Amino acid sequence: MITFEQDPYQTPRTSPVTETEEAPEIGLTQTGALMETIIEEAEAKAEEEAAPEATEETDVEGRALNAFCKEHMAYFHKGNLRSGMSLEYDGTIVILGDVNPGAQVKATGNILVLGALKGIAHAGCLGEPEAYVFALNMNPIQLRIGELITRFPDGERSKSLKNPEYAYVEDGIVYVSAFE
Amino acid sequence: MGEVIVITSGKGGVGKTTTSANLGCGLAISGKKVALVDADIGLRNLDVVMGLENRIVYDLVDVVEGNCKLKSALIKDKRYAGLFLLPAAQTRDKDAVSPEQMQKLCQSLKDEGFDYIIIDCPAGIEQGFKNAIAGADRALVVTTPEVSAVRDADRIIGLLEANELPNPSLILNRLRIDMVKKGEMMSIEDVTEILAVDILGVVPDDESIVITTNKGEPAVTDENSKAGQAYRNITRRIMGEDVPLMNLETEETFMDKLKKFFRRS
Amino acid sequence: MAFDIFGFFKKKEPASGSVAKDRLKLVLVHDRVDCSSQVLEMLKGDIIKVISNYMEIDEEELDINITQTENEDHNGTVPVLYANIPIKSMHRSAPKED
Repeated sequence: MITFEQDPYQTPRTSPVTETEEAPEIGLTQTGALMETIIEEAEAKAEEEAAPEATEETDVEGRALNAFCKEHMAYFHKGNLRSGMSLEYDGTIVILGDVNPGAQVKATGNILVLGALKGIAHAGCLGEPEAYVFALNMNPIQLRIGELITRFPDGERSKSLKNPEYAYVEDGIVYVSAFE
Repeated sequence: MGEVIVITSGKGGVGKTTTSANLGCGLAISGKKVALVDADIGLRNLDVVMGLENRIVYDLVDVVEGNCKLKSALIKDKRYAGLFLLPAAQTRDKDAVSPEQMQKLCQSLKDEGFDYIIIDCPAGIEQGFKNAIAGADRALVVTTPEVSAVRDADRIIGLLEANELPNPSLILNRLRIDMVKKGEMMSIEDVTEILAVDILGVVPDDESIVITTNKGEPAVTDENSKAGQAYRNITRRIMGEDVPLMNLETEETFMDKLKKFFRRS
Repeated sequence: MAFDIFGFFKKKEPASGSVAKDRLKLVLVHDRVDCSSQVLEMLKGDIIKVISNYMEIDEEELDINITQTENEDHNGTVPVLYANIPIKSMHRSAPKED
């Protein structure tokens, strides 16, 4: 498990949840929690791509996900996002392609990149800390989840990793784990 | 009272961004408080040249649109205490900002107590150029000893004069003294004669620029780099010191002497 | 190649540096003038007005522009105002004073 370094330079906005007062600066309004509870990332991914009401027999977490999916549709984008392009969606974004440096993806829900994530991804952009970011090749310039803004420590990710990974927040810290 | 210096050229690829980064760093090394402003909205690059691309949260457009405070958009450099970068927006275009807003921005940066505000101007003579020069007190024109670059520099100098920025000074970039000696490249004198402006500095063509840019560390920080030395000299001239143009001559090899001997006869 | 054996026998061509300089000077004469095409238009109007006082000219065929010519010392070029003004007929008398 790799911990994201909290950016020491832009302290007002990058440090953990304690500084959430800065949030309105993003220019969006808080609209209340989007997701009731966090679920297994593996499940989330599988079900996000399936039909929203696929599972009846699942547990509490699964039902919570379905509730979320009904309320927030997923947006599928086919193709690469190049520098200067940005994609915003009220819900979950699934990208079938790469997100290049300089491109930006912003979702109120989760972000799944079925390709390389090399730009900026902002999941849960209305302040939802339970959103997550998944990528087949996780190498973002910056990762934002909820109100947290993080980046990999300098030089950490120069070699391109080819394993799928996902990033999530726990106790105000963004973690990146291998997806198995 | 701070001074706003715009780095411009007309033609792209002559080294505006490299020059901006190096002069910014050079001035910061000398203990000045410096703001580097990337005015190339939509095609930002100063952040990668400075190696600060992963710290950007807010940008210039966010500041002028009032989405965030100026202070929160300024990125503190990882090397020098007095150096800050205001990055350009990448997902917007030049029309997102007006010359009036840029003037206001420059004034607020002066009010923040910056000694030097260096604006990296986009290539071209359109909106982006007009924005970049709007708040400037002084202009530096970067050119290379090539017909295309010098021609564009001439046009830019004319436009600067028309916009009440007279007497811009010139930075001649990527000069290859060996080629000048052979008569295969325009010399410093050729260029200054044609453009009829003061020369602030000459930067030799130097591999170390490529290497340092790859690493995101401006060449001015490299003691052994010739281009870095040239930028250090320019920095001192900006601060008002009288520094002679550096000697670009390299040691003559035996082969050079031999060649010269044959050419003379 | 260590040194230019063949160049040694060839007729000396001007070095590309000075070619560049000369070409650039020529281009800039045009560039700098192009900035004031409005002025040229005004100048044209004024010339027509003045000359028409003395002779009848063909305004359609009138051609005014700025080019360059070799200077007196034959070592460079200077910009010149070139005007081709076809005369239709001379006015017999001096212009009337109104």
